[in-house]
Amino acid sequence: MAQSNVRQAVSRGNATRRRAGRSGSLPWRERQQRRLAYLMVAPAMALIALVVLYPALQTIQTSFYKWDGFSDDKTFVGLNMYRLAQRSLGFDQAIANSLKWGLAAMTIPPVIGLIAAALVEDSRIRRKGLFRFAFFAPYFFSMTVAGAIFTRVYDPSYGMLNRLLDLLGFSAQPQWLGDQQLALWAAIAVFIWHETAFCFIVFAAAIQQIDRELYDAARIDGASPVRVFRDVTVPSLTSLVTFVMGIMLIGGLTPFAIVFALTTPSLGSPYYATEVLPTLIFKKGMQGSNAGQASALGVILLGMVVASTLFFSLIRGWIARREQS
Amino acid sequence: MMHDSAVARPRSRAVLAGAIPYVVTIAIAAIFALPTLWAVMASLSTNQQITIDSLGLPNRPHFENYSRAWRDAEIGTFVFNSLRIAVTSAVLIAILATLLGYALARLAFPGKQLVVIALLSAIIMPVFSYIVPLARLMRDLNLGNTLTAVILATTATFLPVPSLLMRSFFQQLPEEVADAARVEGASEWQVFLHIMAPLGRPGILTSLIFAFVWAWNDVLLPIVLVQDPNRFTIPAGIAALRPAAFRQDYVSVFAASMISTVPMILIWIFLQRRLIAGLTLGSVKG
Repeated sequence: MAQSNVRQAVSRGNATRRRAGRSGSLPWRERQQRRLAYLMVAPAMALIALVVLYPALQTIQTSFYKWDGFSDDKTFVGLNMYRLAQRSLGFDQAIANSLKWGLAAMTIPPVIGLIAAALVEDSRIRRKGLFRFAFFAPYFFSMTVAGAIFTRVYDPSYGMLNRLLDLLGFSAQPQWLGDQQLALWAAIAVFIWHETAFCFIVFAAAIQQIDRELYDAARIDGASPVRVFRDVTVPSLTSLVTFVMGIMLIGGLTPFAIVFALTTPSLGSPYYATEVLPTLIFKKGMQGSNAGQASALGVILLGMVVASTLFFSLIRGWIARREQS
Repeated sequence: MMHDSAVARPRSRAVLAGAIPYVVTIAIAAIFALPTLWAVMASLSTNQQITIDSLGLPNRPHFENYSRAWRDAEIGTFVFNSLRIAVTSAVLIAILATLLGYALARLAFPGKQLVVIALLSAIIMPVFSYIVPLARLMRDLNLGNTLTAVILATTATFLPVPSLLMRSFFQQLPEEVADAARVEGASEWQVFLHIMAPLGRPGILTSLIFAFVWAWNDVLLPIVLVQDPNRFTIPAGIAALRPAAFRQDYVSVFAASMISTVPMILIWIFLQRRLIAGLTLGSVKG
């Protein structure tokens, strides 16, 4: 009763509004809405414009100038800063390392996370809560703190890793963070350790949402656990998995916190082996005084992230269309 | 299942098949849990024990490592700085995102598409790509080396994501309730404040928690905008002061690392569902 009264009143109100709208000037309700909307949008957008969009545009502008970032001495040099940044020490390593890191980040944590989530959530395993806690635990640390812990895990003299190798009878005692060949992969391993926890918990939550009847039907048909995983779990999560892979790729292109924690005070050591674009930007723009080159590198990084985002939204669109048909 | 047990071989095979998930899960979990377990153990050990045999258990748990880290390594100061930044940013973000999200979802105004495009471009841009001009901007605003600069930067960089979350949250609420109130003579502001905002509480709480976690964990903005070690946040303090304060005191680094996890563990215990919902939200901004 009361509801139908409301609905009548609403439709009457709408009719009044429509009549008023036809008469030309804005009805007071819409004027009021518009005024309130501007009041609500203004503070947030002013802050974002000032702190994010304005500096971002400045980056693009600065990348065409030779400038130390402080003085009034600022000269337009076209694409020279890009050329100089490209030729500078560490650039090739930063690009190669970023690509390796991005590829590893995009594939390894989502795959391990998905398998672990399926093992915990789909099987009849007991103590699910304990396993969830164990897989999620690395995420209690921030990336930086995870990096700080792993500087000790990797420590050649007392670190956990070499002590374990020793215990298992291996005589090799690698300098994980001091070795040209190993340092990058040691750093990527920290990322994998940390981000698998994230992938696990997101996939675990999603698997809990999958219709149980699909599983029951598959089991009645006598499907093995591996087939259930392949034919029920994976198809139900395709869209989420590609989303998470996109997030991981972008995270892998910007792994500043881990490299910072692992290699401070000589960022990117040993000899650029762990250099990535963000650390190079940090060194040139913040520790050094080369705003032009830092900005050029910033634009390159921006291009890489935008390209990855577009790539993944294309893939997601393609999957969504395929699922519909 | 029942008739299988009549035959010996299929049963033992079934038992074996049933054990496989356990073995695999425990194996993966053990590999991932090892560094954490070692860090927990080391945080309760002694420097002597660590240097002699870092895998050995200490004779007793040395909880005094925690108080030493808190006092001597200034973790107390870092925690206080982190809390100030994270709480202020989270509250600011929750308020601004609620207002912005509501306007985008529920109010008609020209330029709405432009605002959405601006938000999406802000999300897509990694902070690293504009960090140098951002630091200069804060110096120009006379906010160099202040927590205020970190709070402003954290709020602005993270804000677009929860704003879009709040927009889709408010889009899902039924229009009838709001219209009923309008018929009763409520102004648009009253409709928002008394009807829609209370209905949006779960979304607001998710934004609040995620902004907090984001600000608590971030290291880039604090390290770039603040130089004075007394104003460092906990991740910045743990990573940057490694060469100095922690040089020989290994165990207090582990104790400090454990202290840094307290808010996350509390959120996990009390708000697990919301934590998971917000994780995808938090990670959208790289």
